Amino acid sequence: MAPLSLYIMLSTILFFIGLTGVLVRRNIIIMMVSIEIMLNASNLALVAFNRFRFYDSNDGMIFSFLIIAIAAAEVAVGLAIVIAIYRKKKTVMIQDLNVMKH
Amino acid sequence: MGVYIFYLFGTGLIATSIVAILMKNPVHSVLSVVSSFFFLAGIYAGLSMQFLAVIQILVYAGAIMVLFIFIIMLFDLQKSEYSKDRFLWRDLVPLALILITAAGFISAISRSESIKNYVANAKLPSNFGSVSAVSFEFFGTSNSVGRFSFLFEVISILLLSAIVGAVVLAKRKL
Amino acid sequence: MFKIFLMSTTESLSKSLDLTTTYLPIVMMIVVALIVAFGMLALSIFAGPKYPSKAKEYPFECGWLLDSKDTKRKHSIKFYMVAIMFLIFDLEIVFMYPWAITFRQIGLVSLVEMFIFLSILVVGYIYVWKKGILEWD
Repeated sequence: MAPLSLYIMLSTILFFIGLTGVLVRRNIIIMMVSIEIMLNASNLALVAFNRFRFYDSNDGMIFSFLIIAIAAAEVAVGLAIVIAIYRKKKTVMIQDLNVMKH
Repeated sequence: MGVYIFYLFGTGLIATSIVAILMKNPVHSVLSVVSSFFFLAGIYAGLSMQFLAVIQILVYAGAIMVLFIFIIMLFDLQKSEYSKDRFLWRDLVPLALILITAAGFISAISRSESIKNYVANAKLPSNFGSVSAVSFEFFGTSNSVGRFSFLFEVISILLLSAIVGAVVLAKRKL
Repeated sequence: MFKIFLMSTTESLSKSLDLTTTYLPIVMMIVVALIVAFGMLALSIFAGPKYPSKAKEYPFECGWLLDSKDTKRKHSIKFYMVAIMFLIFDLEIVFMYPWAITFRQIGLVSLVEMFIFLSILVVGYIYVWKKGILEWD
């Protein structure tokens, strides 16, 4: 089995890939997909620590379930917000959403 | 053998995630993330978290990402719309910051002694990561209350608020 | 105490939790599914008869102008609403699943717990019903 540090490194790389997607992309849908990648990175770290360090309990897995539930709620509400924006502005590009700027 | 499967799944996970944030077309991006979630489910299964692997595929790849596909279908984005998302030179600033931070994190993890000391225990509890383990944590046993019973009720309130929020935001003309 | 309890449960998994042995049926199923899916596509591409002609490539439409730019179809918001309801209640069923599997081993407290869980979610269901999300027209 691979050592714990490799799992944590994989989780870190995945988290920073998601962060790059949030900061660099300008499509709201792809930004939300990147947030999902970041949530999954945290899930992977929780599960890896559960397996390697606290293997006589299942706490990491339970927290992962909580994070999956939070992700579902976040996606439901977030995409509803995207729909509301799209109805108003007919765009999903954040550089076109500059009402507060002018 | 398990190490090679971890390397295979980990490489696929990183590759599909990078493809997901590089694609211009949102449909390609979402499908790439779906495949990355399958790889992640494989890694969970390698950590003997069977139930979590199944839930990852069932909920994440099967429901959450389908919702994204629905949204893209609903908007019917044209190529002229989503190809406005170009890489600008000023994006190099967050990219450089992310690279520096990631390098710092990874070097810290690789040099950490405490992480190195943990090796996978061969003698796991017999129901580690199974459905019944989750059930005992949530619901307790015949003579005790589960440790995460309150968390279970809070999840239902979270889902209720998600329903109400989504209905209010998407139905009303803002 | 919890460790002892885990040891005493009757459920037994296979001893070796190695990916290559425990999950071999699933891996075989995935491989067979991929072979069938891509095999069908490849067969229809390579073995199917193809007689391209100009009349076939012409768009099949009648009644209005062919080169009209307005190809955007309006999808209703109801599709999204149904998808949201699916997502939330899918998650609810996922959380009910461990309860249903081990119902005989967990106590009567779990019944009360699940009752509270479901009654909170039924509030959301009634809200959705009253809002008229479930009616299609």
